[in-house]
Amino acid sequence: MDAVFGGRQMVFTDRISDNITFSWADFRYKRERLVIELNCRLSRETMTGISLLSYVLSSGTDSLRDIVSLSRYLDRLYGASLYVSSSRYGSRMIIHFDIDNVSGLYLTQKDNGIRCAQLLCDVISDPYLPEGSFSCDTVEVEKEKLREEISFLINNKEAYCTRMLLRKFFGDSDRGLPELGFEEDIPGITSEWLYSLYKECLRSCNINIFYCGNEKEEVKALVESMITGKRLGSEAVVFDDRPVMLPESPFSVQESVGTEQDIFSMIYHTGKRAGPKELASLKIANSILGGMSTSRLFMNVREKQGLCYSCVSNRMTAGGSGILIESSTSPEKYSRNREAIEEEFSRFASEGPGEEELRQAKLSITNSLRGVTDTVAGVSSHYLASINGVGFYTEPEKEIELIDAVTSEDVTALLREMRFCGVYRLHDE
Amino acid sequence: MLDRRYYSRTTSEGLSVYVYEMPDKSSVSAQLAVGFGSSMVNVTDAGGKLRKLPAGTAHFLEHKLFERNGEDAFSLFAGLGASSNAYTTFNRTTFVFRSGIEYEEPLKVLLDFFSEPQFTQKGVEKEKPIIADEIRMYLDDPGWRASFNLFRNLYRNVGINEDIAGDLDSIRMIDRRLLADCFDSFYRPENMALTIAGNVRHETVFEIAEAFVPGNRAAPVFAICPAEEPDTIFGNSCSEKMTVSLPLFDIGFKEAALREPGSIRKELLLDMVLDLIAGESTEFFREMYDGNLISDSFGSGFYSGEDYLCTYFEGDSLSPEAVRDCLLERISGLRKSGFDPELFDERVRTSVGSYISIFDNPGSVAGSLMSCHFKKASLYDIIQLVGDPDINEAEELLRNCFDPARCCLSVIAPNS
Repeated sequence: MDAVFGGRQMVFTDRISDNITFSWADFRYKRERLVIELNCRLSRETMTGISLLSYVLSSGTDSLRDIVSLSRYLDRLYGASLYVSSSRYGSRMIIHFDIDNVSGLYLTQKDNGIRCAQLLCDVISDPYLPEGSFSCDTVEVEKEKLREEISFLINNKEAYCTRMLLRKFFGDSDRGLPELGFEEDIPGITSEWLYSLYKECLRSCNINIFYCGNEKEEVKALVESMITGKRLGSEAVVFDDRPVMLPESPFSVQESVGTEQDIFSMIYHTGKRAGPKELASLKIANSILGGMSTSRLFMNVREKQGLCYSCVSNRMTAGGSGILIESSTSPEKYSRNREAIEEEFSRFASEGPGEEELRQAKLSITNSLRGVTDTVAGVSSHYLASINGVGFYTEPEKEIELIDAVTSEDVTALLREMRFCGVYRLHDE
Repeated sequence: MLDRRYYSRTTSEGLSVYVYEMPDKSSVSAQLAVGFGSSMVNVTDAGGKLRKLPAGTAHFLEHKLFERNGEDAFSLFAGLGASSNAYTTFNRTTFVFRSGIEYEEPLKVLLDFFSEPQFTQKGVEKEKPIIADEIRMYLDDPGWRASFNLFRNLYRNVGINEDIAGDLDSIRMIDRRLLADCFDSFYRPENMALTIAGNVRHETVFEIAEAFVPGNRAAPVFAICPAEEPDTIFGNSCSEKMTVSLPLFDIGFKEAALREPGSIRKELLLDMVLDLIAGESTEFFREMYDGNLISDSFGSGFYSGEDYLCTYFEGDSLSPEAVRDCLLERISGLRKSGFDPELFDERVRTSVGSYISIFDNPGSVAGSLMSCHFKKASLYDIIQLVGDPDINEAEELLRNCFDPARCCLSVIAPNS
């Protein structure tokens, strides 16, 4: 893991071993947060199981054996929030364990933070294992929940459209695998297989720990003791983070799902990985194109031409630098809306940003970066999103310097490297 | 936690201003809200005659107010390094900005938008297709449709039975004159409040707010007239088909509106009551979850206004009718047994934790100050309640709410 420092340092990192790091941030908040992430290998065979693990592991521990006991315990910890989830980043599958809670500094229960950290360690290392494996009943219940969750993706049409676009874009590579796994794999999963998969994930993984709270030394000792005692991460994993191969020609997919509006997502991509400098240019390019309420797409496609209500862009770092555009409009305006978006992109790439819009984008991004330190959620999300998204962390102060240094030519050069790769459209036949 | 940081004042024009100083923060959040929301469609005109405003009027006005002399509000804020937004709910319209520590100019811009609004018919017509697309966008949201189908079955006269943005017919009836009349009637300082939290100085905020001169010197044209709503409901179930994987449901109860002073106390208790009925810490939740009647999308809440209170449970299920039946049985049982005191105390701890957490975030503080203003309470009232809730009062609320005769099940079912 690389870190780019500069200005006032906010996050510090200790390396526990080659593949295990403990990072912490200055604490000056009312809430604390501890996150432990296992970076595991991604494969077609295991990803459904890893998705299911997050459901099973969040349903209890050996001492709190069901969801109600666990929830009541969280209430006693003054409404601590516990999350276990899995997500795919490039060629990695990350199992994410996360607890955030009110600091004992503000409570009569002074050891609230330590209790919460202990609970998170228990969730990871001490799950409920009747007869040496996960509870069969729990696994069966959670299998059904995962099946529902997979089928539920269609309910949020905008998110579904973008997911399908990305699956098409990444094609047969690991990045193209569906994030929650495959519905058809679920029936064959047994509690024994799932537990052996979990043991393998614990053994063979890289571990990132992040803590922001008032009990740094005690929490670090607690987590290290768990890692040593259970031999977590005893085998390091090397991930293949090569950039994506861009399609030879743009794809266009249409799916009829009976929507009132035509909903579509488009992708522009360089097929090249971004370093800190390119990332700064990408953030500015995205802000000006469609990432702010004063962006070109919003002002020109929506406000001036009235072609849609929603038209936004998001920067993308998976497999390299890219921009995703999402819009929805009434069916009769689809073609004009899409053409207008493509024209905006082409014009932006050919002319580059104007002086004032470059200034505004920089101001907006730097103010957001300064606000990162205002909440524990801001600090932790900024750190984790950087580490997981681009593979390196840049301190906000340093990032502000990089943003300030971006020129109009940097943005133009990046945009000109991007190719239109495809569009995915939901509509009503 | 509140000492020496929390200030409030009413300006000479009548605008209520609340400031919470957080000198250790690097950002500032501000909200300016008006007590005019989408549900407030029943009005009397200058002659005292009852009128109904077209659905979506408050939302339309919100869109048009964030524009001045053809210049978009977003651009003005962005030029000052601030991000801005505006939104309409059932009860109010809110304009917000978030900035770095240089908040003075964005604050002046925010207040200035209400000094000289200019509505042109051309501008109004230009906005209609954009709002029409927004309406269609919500029509593709199954959760949204389940909620509004529910409201239409529970309410006949109260304005929450109409979509916040209105519908394609109602927005056609909105013109420049109507917007100007609504602005003159409702965007008056005494019906507005400003809240601001973060790295600010109260003296500076008060000085800027004091200079605010509202643009509506004309006499009000309309006055809000709370709807007379029958106690009964208009359907105990409804269903619509969409492209969804599983049926989505909303189970709602038409309750008596919380009109009396102290309603914030009841609202905070109601939040606890809903969790004690079917929250994740109850055995009831586990039975439903393990029995595959609900998933972790299951949740509860309420909508509260001057003339309505609607409690609801929502989620997805293969058998929404069974969820409703189980809930009604659960509520009936709890009415007899009362709440488990241990569970109640645990839930109180969660409220304490949530309350403390507000003070980490300028945006949360600004939002909470605004909620308190419109409920005629202060942050101190919440401290008192959070620290000292009464299980008997919660049980009384349980007995008075959730009448099965005023319950409706709204379902969005898969179309194939």
